[in-house]
Amino acid sequence: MKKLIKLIALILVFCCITAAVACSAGETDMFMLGTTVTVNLKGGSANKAFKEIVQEIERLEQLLSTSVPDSDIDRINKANGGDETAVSKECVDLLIFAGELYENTDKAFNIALFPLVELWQFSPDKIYEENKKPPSNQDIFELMPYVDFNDLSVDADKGIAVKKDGKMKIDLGGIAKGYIADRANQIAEKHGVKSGIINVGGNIYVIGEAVKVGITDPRRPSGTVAFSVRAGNISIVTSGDYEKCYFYDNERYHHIIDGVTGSPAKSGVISATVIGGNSALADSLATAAVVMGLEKSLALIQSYSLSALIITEKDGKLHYNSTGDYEFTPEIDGYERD
Amino acid sequence: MRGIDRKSVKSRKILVRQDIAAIAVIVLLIIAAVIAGSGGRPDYVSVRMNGELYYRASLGEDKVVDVDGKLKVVISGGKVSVRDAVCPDKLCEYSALMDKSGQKIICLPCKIVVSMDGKGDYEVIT
Repeated sequence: MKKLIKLIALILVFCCITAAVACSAGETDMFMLGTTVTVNLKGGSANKAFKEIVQEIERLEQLLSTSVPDSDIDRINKANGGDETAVSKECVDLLIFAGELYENTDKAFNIALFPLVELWQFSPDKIYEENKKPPSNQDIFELMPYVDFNDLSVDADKGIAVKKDGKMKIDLGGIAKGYIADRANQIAEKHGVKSGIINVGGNIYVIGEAVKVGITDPRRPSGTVAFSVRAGNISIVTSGDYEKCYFYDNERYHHIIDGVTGSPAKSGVISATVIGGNSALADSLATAAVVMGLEKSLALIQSYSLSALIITEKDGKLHYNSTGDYEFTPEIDGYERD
Repeated sequence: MRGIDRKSVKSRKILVRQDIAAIAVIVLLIIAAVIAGSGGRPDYVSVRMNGELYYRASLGEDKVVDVDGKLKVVISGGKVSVRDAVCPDKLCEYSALMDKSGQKIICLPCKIVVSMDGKGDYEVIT
């Protein structure tokens, strides 16, 4: 009888251990911020963390989205020049951070390009329109006076934003997803989550030990993996010209606009993956890299002591460069290391 | 002084041979469970619509799944693709044929995500 009790006890221990191994909370694909959000957490109070993260993402979307009526951004965009728009602390923080990046990237990262983003039909309300074609040079030229971020002033103490001209519009698309991934990671940490993945439209936060992360091939069908990297307790973000793009007369037109030309960036960088502890920073630097080109973006990313994989296209051939502590492993042929 | 009864000492051993064998079996089962949870190829394809699980199937059987009249998921030879989507951009149809865990086909207009479940390839793709 004693042996039988021992055996049952051991089986119970086995069941508990396997249950603990398998225990995870809430993997779901939510549709927010015009993209998908996936949260998968394990360990600690994973269920509590999951619920709080979902609530926080929904709250931040209401504040920061261009397409949510009466969001902070929507009210700034609809305001007249000189009007004071009261905004949340989160919005103020992001506007100030975006301003710092505007300077540090030599204006390559610019959240005030939204009038041009709309003109090129990449705004959320036009993204699925068919038979797109590029705007005329005249149309672009007419909007260029309204895309200088410095024409937006922010008073952090009063919590207000003021535009110089009513035609100015902003869009946090290149930084908000990273900011939200950071917030989600902070909530997971608070609840003692041991491991997991937070994926806000490709802005990834890996919680816990290193896992194998795939990096999308920018020139093969969506979902093809070109490189992999093992990373843990850090954020990984990719921006590229292959997302939100259309073709006209065999030319690719994509959503990352160069504020100097008013047109989609043609720097040669077609994909930039940045790895760092601050997902909002990684997000904005990945976007800026597509505008800045290889040399300038590598130097900038190195100045922040971050890691990156930069893919360039030259004469129809694909090349890659990397910087930092992480090893990027090619998963398929067709890439030359510079 | 009483002599030591070897038989009674043996019977008072904490673990007898059968117990050791049982522990060994349990340890092997735990190791097998951990390995099963961290390796191997994708086993299932999941279809989620509006964040809710709509369909989940083994990759072992070839079939075509109609997802609410919005698109069809094709499972063939352990690989998964999408066809007949009603969305305007058809980006989901141009996605790569999926055969690795971690891969997803996302149709944003239809709010449908088709994902390869399992471990061993990519935990996530950016």
